[in-house]
Amino acid sequence: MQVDFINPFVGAAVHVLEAELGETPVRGQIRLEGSRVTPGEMTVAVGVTGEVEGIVLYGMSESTARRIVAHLLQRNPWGMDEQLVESGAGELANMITGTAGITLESKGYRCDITPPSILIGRGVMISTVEVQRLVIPLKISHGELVIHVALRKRSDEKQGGNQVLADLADRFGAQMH
Amino acid sequence: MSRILVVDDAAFMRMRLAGILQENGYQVLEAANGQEAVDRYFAEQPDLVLMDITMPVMDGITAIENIRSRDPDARVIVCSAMGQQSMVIRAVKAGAKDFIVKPFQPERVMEAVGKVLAG
Repeated sequence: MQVDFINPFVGAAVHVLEAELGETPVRGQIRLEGSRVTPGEMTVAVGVTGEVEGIVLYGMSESTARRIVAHLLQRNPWGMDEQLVESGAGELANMITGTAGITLESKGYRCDITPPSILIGRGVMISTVEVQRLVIPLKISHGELVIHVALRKRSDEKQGGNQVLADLADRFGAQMH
Repeated sequence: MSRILVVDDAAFMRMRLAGILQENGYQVLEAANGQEAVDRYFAEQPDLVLMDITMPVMDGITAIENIRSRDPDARVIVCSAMGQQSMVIRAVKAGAKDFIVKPFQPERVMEAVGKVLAG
């Protein structure tokens, strides 16, 4: 099931980052990981409800968030207060998730998203409970943005991890951990 | 000078939209969720509302319905990342005059604002 979410999220991230930052992100190797993750200094969490449900996490360093938001607002990265940086990072995550939602609906998965929540601090562990995470690393000139997609179709029976890994390897030659 | 109420839970996005509108000569009011938007709309009677959809307290679609049930002539443009067809249809049914999908270019915002204010 997670394989179906690769292209909507990669496409959405590329579209939003190109439109907002004027650069095409370099995609790292996509992989599938277990439910527990320590994503980074700043993590934006966007909930997804509807025919697919779960959570999408956007992990980045505070410096990366600051540089991205400064770029968008044409400001000095170190002259902005934390709330503005967090608000901007949340909006970036909102735009990527919303754009992916447009593609998901066109594929028959109608869904809605919740306002973003921000988690700050090194070493925070987040669990997506029983849902494995599709991890999409992206590099831009401001740093690294890692998207963790932990979604499943609402009516899905649990799909075996091995089958998902095999699908990933077949379609994308992804490196799995 | 037309007054525009910018409604978005993200201060970042309110700042960006306010910057674009003020550069083009508009006066900007702000609200951080749908409920604040309804209260501010009837307190200050802006000429136009730019409304996000996904917000805490009250979402943008409910806020549009609320505003237009009391003022059927209210002019509202939705500005949201949730640009899927079903959401656009919901917004239009609620009374939105246009739908701007985030991310947007400033020119797209100004085109929509100009058209709706002229209509």
